[in-house]
Amino acid sequence: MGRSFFVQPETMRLNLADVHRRAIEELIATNPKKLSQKDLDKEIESLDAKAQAIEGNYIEVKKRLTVGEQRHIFARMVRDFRPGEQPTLDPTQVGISKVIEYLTAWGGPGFVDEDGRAVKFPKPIASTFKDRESLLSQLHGDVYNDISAAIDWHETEQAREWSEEKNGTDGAKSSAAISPSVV
Amino acid sequence: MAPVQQNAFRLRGSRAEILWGYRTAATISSWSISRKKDVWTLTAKAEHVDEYQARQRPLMFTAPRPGGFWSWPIESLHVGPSQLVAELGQPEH
Repeated sequence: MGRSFFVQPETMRLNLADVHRRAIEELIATNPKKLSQKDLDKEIESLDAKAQAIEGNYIEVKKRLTVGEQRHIFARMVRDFRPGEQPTLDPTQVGISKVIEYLTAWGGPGFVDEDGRAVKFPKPIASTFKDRESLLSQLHGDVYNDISAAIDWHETEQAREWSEEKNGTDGAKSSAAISPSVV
Repeated sequence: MAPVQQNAFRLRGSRAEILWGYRTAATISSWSISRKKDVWTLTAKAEHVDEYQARQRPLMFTAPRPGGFWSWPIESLHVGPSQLVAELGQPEH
């Protein structure tokens, strides 16, 4: 039997500290700014400190988006679209609409309010898109950037995996799905 | 939580969803759940049913309540022209 063309509602957990660990690996492998060993060590130390600071915090994201979900992202980002012209984007929606479309949950020691109570990422049934956008907008900028970077990496990985599956060259999966997720 | 401990009772509500994973297979405008002899039955009026997703498994019925959600796994689902009827498993908290 062939592979189904329909996207399953699977989710995956992404550790936010891995964003900085991947940056360290890339820095060591490529050293794009041609840093001296001393400066490279300093940069690695800084990234490692960031990884440790966010350790234990995670997000859960949709494994793959359906075409409908991809179109939602596009529709939210575009302010004006006329045939034959470049679409005018809404700068407040670039990036965040993708994060909201992918994100299904978060957790860890940092996702708490001032009184230490867990702040859950709301389910669609209990919130509007604006509610979820509003909650995300209250995060510290660095944390939002980590979430966004984790999702960008995940999207790239899934695109690569899907391409390999289509071409019949897939080997072991990079990480296991943890769902179907429920309430 | 108290009603869940009783032998026979009925819960009612307005907004609810049937989920396939994180996706909405059906949106519900009014619902009631009854329990008779440990069999939980959902009767609901659906606003929209996604026929493809409603055929998938596992499905979950979920409805908001103060401080969280009611949540039941769906064991069987019948979608009729005017209402939807499902046999539910044990509630999850």
